[in-house]
Amino acid sequence: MPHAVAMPKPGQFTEECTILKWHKREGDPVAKGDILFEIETDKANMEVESFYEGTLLKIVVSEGGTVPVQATVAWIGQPGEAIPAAPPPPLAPPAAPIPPPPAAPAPAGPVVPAAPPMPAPAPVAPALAPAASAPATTAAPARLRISPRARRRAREAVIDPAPILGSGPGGRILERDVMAYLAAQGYDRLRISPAAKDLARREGVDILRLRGSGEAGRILIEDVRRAIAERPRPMSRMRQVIAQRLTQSFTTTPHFFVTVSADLTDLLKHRRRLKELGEPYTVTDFIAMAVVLALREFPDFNARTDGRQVWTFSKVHLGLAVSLDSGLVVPVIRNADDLSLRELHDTAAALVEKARAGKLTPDEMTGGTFTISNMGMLDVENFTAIINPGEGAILAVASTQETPVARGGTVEVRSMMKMTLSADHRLVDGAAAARFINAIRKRLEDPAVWRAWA
Amino acid sequence: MSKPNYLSFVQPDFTPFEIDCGRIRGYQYAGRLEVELAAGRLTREQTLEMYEDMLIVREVEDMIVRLRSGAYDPLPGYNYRGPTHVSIGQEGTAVGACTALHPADRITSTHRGHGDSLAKGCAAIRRMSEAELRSRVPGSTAGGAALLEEALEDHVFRTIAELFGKDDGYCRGRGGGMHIADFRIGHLGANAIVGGGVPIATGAAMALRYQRSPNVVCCFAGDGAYANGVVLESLNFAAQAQWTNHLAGDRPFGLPIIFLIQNNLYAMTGRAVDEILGVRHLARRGAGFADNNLHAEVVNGMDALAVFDAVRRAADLCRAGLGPVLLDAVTYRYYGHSLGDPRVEYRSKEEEAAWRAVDPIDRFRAALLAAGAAAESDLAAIEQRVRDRNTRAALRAADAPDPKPEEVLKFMYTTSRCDAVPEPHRNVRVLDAEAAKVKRDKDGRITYRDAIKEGMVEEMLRDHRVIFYGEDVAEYGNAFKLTKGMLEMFGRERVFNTPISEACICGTAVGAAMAGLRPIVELMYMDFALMASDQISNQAAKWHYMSGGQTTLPLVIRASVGGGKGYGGQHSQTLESVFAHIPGLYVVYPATAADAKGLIKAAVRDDNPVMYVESQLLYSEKGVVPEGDHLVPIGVADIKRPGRDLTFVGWGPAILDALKAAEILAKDGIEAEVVDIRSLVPLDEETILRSVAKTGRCVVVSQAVQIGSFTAEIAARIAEKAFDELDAPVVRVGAKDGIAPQSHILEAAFLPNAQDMVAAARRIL
Repeated sequence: MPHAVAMPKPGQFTEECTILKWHKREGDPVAKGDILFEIETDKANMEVESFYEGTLLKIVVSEGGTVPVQATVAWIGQPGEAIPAAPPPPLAPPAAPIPPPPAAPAPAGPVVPAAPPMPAPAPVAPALAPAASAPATTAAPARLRISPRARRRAREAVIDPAPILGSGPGGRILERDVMAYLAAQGYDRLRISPAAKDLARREGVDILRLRGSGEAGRILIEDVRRAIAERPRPMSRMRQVIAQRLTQSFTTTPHFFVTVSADLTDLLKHRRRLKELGEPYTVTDFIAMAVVLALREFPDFNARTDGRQVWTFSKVHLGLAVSLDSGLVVPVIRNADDLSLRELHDTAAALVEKARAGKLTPDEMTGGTFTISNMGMLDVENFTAIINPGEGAILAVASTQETPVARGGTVEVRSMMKMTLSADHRLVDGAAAARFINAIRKRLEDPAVWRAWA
Repeated sequence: MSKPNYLSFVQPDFTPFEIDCGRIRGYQYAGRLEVELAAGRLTREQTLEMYEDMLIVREVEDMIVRLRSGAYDPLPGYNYRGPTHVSIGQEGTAVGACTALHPADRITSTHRGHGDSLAKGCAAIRRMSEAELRSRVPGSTAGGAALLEEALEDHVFRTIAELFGKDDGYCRGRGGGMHIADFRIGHLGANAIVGGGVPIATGAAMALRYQRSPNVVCCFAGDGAYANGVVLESLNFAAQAQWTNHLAGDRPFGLPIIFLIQNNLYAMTGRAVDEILGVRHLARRGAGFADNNLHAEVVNGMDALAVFDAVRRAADLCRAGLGPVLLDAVTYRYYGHSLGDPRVEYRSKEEEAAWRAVDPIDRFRAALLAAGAAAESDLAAIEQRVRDRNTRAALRAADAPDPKPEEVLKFMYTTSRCDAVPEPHRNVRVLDAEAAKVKRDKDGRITYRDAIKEGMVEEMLRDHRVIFYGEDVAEYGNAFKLTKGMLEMFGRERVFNTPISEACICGTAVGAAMAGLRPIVELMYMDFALMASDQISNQAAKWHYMSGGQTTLPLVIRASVGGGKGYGGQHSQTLESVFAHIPGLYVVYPATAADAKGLIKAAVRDDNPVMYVESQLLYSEKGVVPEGDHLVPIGVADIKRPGRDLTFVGWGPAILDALKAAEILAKDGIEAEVVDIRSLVPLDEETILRSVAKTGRCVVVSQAVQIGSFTAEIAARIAEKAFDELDAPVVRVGAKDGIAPQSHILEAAFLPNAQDMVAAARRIL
């Protein structure tokens, strides 16, 4: 009996993957551990190894095919073995017309059911309900129920029939519905140049949605061209995930914000000195260290809640938001509370490099317990961040700026850096947040502290 | 002329008696070649021609055998794809018979018909005038013997080309060896349905009789055919008393047909002797059909001279009006049913050797030498000539162009029509001009029933070639009094009763149409069309195509539908969908009196075979029908009621229900259009699609059961060709998928009605 090769589930939230490239062909011998194919997930590309030994009997999903995780993509067995008859994998809709993200977040929010107490938290915290996104990403867009005749009328009128309410069986849009809609929309009064109408028909632009710039509101070809240029584009898969997760977080987690200014004048001097000595530390490394230490002191900020239960993590897995051209990723420094500054630096540097190269594995991007988002390089005075799903707080770090500061009765110019903590108000209150963020600030301002680090 | 009607007066008479079947004699021919030559019944040249013709047959069939094993030297490796039903061993029968026929005499033949076809052609060509020969080889500049030789070679070439499926074949590659035909020399077709050609031959003989032709038909069929129903029907049909007794008026004349049984002892492999027949000699069949035993005799089919003698005498009888004649020519098929048949399962090698020892060609050769009719060198020269001619013809045929794939449907239907009746056929004699006259009411209306009659009567007045026959159509005026008066008007020559032999009724119409008539035949109930389905579907529908357009089939089969009258399962079927599925037929079904008349007239004038379906439910429906030449073109639908919201499309009685349904819907402001297709084949798609384009909704209606109904064909075409016009799925209304019950309560539930149509319409409105 041949073995079915399944599309792996590379990350907790991955619903479907696309096969980028097959490294084996049908008929090739396969050893355990051989790379079979490469996939693209919503987060990264990765190679998939074989669990089986034998011959690649059949490739079920060819390059470019997108299927749900766990779907059979190939068969490995002995040459000549019959492949069991099975329905072909449900192909996910092609990438181009990606359905819009669900309008409303799933009411339940986080996946964990409330009533039965959760088993010991897995190392990778389940944060977002995959179910929330499932229907949107795997099901085809709801088919418009419309009769062929009505569809043709709409096509002739160069309008999009989607908004029309159908009066036929099962809500089918009939010709009369199209005609009534056109009348209600004042279609007869619409003035449009023949060339504009022609272009709109070819490009599928709904001319009822156009505003004419011609005489007396006549729609001209430029109006159509503008509409084409301004047409919505599908979001990239990565942005869709970002959109979905952040919407989820921001709409279900009551955020509050606490801002402090940290005086980094001394730290910056120290860092310059270290640099001259060949030490590679960045300001972020120090901030990370300060955060890790503060978290040990305030474990309520290394926690998460679903509104009914609180999970407090015993280790700090520190997320670092990294901005890429294509979006945002958050690699996670595992067990950051066990690391020295040097180790922190090295781990962070390696992760950032991998992120820039698109080589992060799904596990390297999940399971954070607290995140730092540093926009220090981007010359911002201050900003707030949205808590990463599954975590309880995030620290937004702004740029360091030369600022006149009143100190002991005189005004001095100091290097000031604003930090804003976003925290889940269900977990913690303002006073705790104030204490926590000031604990970070103090560590950054106290040479005795960071000299001990490096 | 006196009135044609007569009343029986058969007295009860139960006096004891014995039937004396008389004597049927066998193998009585004692002639020899010298005797025939001396008596002047054959010339020396004719005997040499017979020898050559037998060789021509054997050479062609030997070529087939060799081609099958790659052993035909002139065409090494040629891939012969045709059938291999060779008649080697039977040449004496084919050539002996055809030599005794006149060039214009007709034959029909069988799937094992290469010999009959070649022999008839050779015999006819040898008797042709120079002008006739030239018409067969138009490009030729030769004359005399050279022209004859060219015509003979052309005959062999066209035969082989047909076997090879070439466009130069007799049937343009549409027929092949099993359906070869050459209508120019009176060959009405080999038939691959065993027995299928026999009613056709009978119909052709009936036509020759009607035309007062001096010619006869020789109907070749095997021993296997003489156990087939339609063959026995044909023997009875040909032997009917009405051809020769007082009913035949001033010309009692038996059908001029020779039923020549090519009794090769095997019905495929079924053994005629001892196994699948109850008689030792098939000639006995004659005793079952005529008191004169059909002049039956058993003939030595291995002896060309004996066959020649028997067929010559039989033809003389037929030409004298004393036919039909049954000849049982016992012969032998050396090979199996086809070359795939090893023969070892059912007959012995010893038997084959014994029959090969009386080979017709060898015997004839010996006789020629013995009679001094030819020297060894003369015969060797003939043998060489036959071989060389065959080689040239085969090479040419192999190189000849294939038919064009894009012309695969050429010859399916003819576009020809009888728009003007040729002069000799306009002369029509009428006995009683008033007898079948239809009277109109004060509004100018007549019934559907009378409209059909009026159409038939007008066409019979217009064209003498139109004859009409069927069961109980004469004095009785048919089972529904539809044809009342037609006998009185035209006489029994043109309007006559037939035995209850539906297959033969339809088959004789095919033969009569091939021989130049334009018959209308009647099937009392459409259910009985299934009895005749071979003749309708395999013969009438196919011969125009299978002959490569050589013949047309201008015939009309009227079939009456009894549905709705509580006649139960075998008298109520609406079967036009069945025949619409058979390419080659036209199928029409009028719904109104005016269309009934217009379509029957158009059908009679059309040169394609037309299945004309009529409904007994409609017989009494009245309508205004134009007098005189009112024609409804076949293949043109009619909008019976215009509307814009919904289309009912259908035919037959369902149209009346659709009109009622439209009335009901109109009360709700819904305007339904009713399209009566009138012709199922050809279908006026354009009118249907135009209506659907207008309304966007369509209900297809008929009285046929839903499964496999032509309504599905229409729905499918709309879906395919007018998808974008549809605002709702196309739905169908028909009878339930069951058998028509007798109970009127059940039948009302079985058949569709106007309410069903309204409901269907509302479902999609």
